Amino acid sequence: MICMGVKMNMVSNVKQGFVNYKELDKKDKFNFWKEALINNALYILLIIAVIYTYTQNQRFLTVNSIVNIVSLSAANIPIACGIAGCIVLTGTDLSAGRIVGLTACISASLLQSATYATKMFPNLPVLPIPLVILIVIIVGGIIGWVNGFFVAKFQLHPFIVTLATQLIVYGLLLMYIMINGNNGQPLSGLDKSFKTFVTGSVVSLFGVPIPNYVWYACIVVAIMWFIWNKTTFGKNMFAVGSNPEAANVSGVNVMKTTIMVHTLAGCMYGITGFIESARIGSNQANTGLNYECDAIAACVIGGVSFVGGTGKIRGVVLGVFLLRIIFVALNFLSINQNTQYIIKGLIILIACAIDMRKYLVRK
Amino acid sequence: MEKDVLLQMTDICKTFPGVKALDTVSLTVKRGTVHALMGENGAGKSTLMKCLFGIYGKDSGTIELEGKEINFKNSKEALENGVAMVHQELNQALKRNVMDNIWLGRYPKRAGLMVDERKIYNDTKKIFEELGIDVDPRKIMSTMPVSQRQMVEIAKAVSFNSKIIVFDEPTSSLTEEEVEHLFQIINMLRDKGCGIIYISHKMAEILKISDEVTIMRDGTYVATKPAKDLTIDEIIKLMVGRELNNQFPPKTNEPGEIALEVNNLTGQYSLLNDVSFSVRKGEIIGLAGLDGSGRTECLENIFGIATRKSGTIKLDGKEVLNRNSREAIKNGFAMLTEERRSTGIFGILSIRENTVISSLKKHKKHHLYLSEKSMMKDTKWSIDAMRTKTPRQETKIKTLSGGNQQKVILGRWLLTDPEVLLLDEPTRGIDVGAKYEIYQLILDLANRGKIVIMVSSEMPELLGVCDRILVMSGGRLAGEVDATDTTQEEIMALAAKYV
Repeated sequence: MICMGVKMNMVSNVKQGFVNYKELDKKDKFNFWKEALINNALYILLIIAVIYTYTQNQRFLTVNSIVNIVSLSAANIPIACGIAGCIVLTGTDLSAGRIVGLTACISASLLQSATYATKMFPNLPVLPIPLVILIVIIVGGIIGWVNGFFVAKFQLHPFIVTLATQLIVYGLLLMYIMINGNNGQPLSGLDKSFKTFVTGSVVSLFGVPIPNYVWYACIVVAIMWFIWNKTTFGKNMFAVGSNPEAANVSGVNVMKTTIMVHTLAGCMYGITGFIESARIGSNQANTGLNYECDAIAACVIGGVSFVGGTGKIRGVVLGVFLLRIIFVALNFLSINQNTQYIIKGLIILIACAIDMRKYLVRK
Repeated sequence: MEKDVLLQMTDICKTFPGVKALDTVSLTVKRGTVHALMGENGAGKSTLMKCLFGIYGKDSGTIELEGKEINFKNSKEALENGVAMVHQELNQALKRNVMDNIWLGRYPKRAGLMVDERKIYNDTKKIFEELGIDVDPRKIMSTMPVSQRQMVEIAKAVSFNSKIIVFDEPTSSLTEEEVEHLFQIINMLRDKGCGIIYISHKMAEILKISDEVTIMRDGTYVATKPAKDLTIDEIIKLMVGRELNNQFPPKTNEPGEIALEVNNLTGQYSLLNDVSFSVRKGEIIGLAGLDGSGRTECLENIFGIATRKSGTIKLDGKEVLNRNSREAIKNGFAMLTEERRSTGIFGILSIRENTVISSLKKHKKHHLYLSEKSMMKDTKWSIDAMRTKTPRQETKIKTLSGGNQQKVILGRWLLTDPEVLLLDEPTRGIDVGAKYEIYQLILDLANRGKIVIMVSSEMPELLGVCDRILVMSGGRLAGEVDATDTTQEEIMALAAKYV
């Protein structure tokens, strides 16, 4: 449905654009092309990159590779959708990665197979999966609530609040994986039902199995799209992000909205943690480290701007894919790891600069 | 004794989109005199000063300093050429100390590298002694009262050897004793041969300190007279002397029963002090007064976005608490704020989102989602009823003109179905045509029995639209006048009662 919407929009945009274009004079036409080129630079670069990578390495566009890109992106979508809300409020969330780590370890510890030798809770039966999902969502939600509470109540910048909470969460995580004589060992030996639930497959594409978590990511996207576009909370969130003073005058509960955005983000990190837990299989203290960086980058590339009050779920999904395609392409081109970091950094810089152009007031 | 001319501004014009802010205004400041610049809010005093300092570029006219034509590009350049300003709102680095603030940006260096702390300390000390200011140059700005910080600002102007010093409402936050001290300093500067431009609303003060008075009105020059030949009444007459013409729709509303009673309203953090009044159904009440007289604070206290210390509000005989904006909206209040851009519109959101934000509850279906269709319907109603000019509902509100933005916000509030509308400067920054439409909307609302309380700095507007006018002064209610048989002079005199 979202894809259709995009298509329809594009068709009508192109039609309208053509009519307008005919009316321009020569200098304006040049400007038109310049603007079009800069505003779509990201997509143009992406297409060039895909074509170039394909010519260098034909395996880049095999079904296998495409399913790989899709599933890697899907794993990142919940965390990006969560953090996007914080960015809409002109904030950020540095604690996302650590919350993913904590919830991943909790999921793993609760779903280790009963026969595994070094089980963390030896006497605990394998819990029902919905219960575990609920637990990690609640754990993530509570930490998110704390973030939101300090941001809203004490007017602290989210950067500071989440900088502090990510340390606290990391401490809790380290303590958690020490209990019952586990001594910080990686949590593995996950129950088969858990692995099947997340990484198993019910649908295949040309014989390549699509992992289940791709569908879970789709559900998350649908729910988030609904929340952002169809609920009072969503409208209030954009209002607060756009102009908190005006929102207050207009009767929006700014504090409640801010807390809820952060809580929802925490819940999303919980879901990410749950999926990552099964996807990685062996969970340790460093699981989730720096996930927030990729998530923030994806949001910004997708047009969720730090200006606040603007952004679309569609953009977040697009951003996640875009970033992933480029990461995978760099691997296919066998560019060495160190250079990859530089290229990633440059992409984020350029994307933000292009995004910011839209909001600059020209004098 | 004839004194020679220091600053000569001739035929200055400045146009903003839709408004002629300055129309051939001239100002002559002589050496060793205090020249008062007077006029109502919006008469063009600050615009004229901004043209002098190059904050705005003037459209035409010339500015001469000591016979040489000047054209400053910014206030820094003006300062370096001996033209300084002591602002109403002090722009200072509050976390730094006194001497840092005075020498900021031009520290004397030692060995071309280190700031010469001793030299700036001694220089500061010397200026302070000269002006009779008793402040330690090493004190941190934020620990000092406003009056002392103002002295620092004056000392800074002196340190630049300024020939022209502009004072913009310098006494608005000073006690009487501090005003005395300030006047001593101003007199000292005058005796040194400086030309002082003194902007103030306070008539008594003007007559006491100034040598000459120039009066402006609606962006035009009215007169320049020696202060000793003027009385307060004459100044008021020159300031407001204009005819009311046909810029208002005919008044058709008929006030009914008393519906809103405000008793002893006092603000916790604002200067609002013991304000009581009552309003009838279908009545339009004006709140007049100078800037900072507590008009906005009064509305904010009623609407619950400013903290109340004491006082009660009754609507239809029932006490309403209005502890925050949500409660106020539920109780049937609506508030249009003064600063449209900073507290009114959501610039990057669409007109539809801007319209429905305060009435989202109405569009909820099955307690779950918002109906797009119903929101579109309401937005369409608002656009039609307000005659908002916009291509589409999805247009971003920041691309509209001020008048159309105001209509969107008014529409937003009408959709909450309010009984009491609190309008703070509803026509500020709006062109004349749109103003008339807004007046008509206000009258229509009153005709339907709504209560309208409207703050405005434009007196003709208050006289033309309101039934009664409450005049505020220094946070208190200075008096109440009937809009049909009062004069601008009477309102002005009341507005100056507690300042």
